[in-house]
Amino acid sequence: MLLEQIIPLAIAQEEWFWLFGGLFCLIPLVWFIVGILLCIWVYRDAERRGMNGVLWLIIVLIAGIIGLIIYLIVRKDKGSGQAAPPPPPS
Amino acid sequence: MTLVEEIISLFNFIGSLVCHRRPDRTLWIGGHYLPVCARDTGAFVGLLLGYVMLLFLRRKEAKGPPNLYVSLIMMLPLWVDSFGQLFGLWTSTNYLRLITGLLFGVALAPMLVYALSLSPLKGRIPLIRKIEPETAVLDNKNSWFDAKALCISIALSVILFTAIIAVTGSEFPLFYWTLSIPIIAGIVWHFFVLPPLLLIVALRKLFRKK
Repeated sequence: MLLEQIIPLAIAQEEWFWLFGGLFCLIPLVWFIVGILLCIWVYRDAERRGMNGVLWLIIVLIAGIIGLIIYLIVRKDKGSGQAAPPPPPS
Repeated sequence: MTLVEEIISLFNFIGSLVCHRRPDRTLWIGGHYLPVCARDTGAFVGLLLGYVMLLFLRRKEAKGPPNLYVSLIMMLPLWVDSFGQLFGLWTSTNYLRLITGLLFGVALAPMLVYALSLSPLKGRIPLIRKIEPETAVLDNKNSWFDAKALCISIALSVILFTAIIAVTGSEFPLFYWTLSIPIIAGIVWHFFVLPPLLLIVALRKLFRKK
């Protein structure tokens, strides 16, 4: 009963509605920012390892955490994408 | 309306903020519909099970990520089942939604904790900091939550799944409360406590730097 009274009242009073709506909008916003930071990290990490950064960025964007796990499994070891160091002088 | 009915309507309201709550896709347990659909029920109960597993089965000295192969195997069914249904390839069932959700949730908990410990927010999130690895190194092969721990988690998920389907349709209220309280705790923690905490900790770190 109490809830049934409070919620329509909160929606009817616009400031309550916007306060609540604003707080609720914060949640997807935070997860969205986390997702964007993750995509930037995957792109930069893939490029650093000599892999196709754009391709992995798209895969992680589409597949989310599953794409990220696949990336972590298949990514090359650090330095394998760079040129081999020169041989030591004999 | 009695107090119990008010609490149930509050649970349903919280559930409706994050879930469609379609009656045909929501489990009926203990004389009521659960606060979220079958897949979300699995995911939130699974997350909780994952955190409990972390308490007992994590390898404190290890630095590497949770076993990626087993984690992928656990998460993939939910993805395949959801997309198969989305594209009209098949129609899932509540039991399939529940088990895929459970496996996903159990695998997600260690990934989430490990990801937080890799970020600058390591050691700053209450509760999570108690189960974080001491040092997280993504390239390290020594898994912090290894394949054996994940396989035990799978076994427990299957037992939990069997228990949930056994009580589905029952009218005994205890089953409703046993499931709905962890689900609501999971929703509140992951949607209403963790994101603002992340934001506050990140902003504090940002402003302290300046």
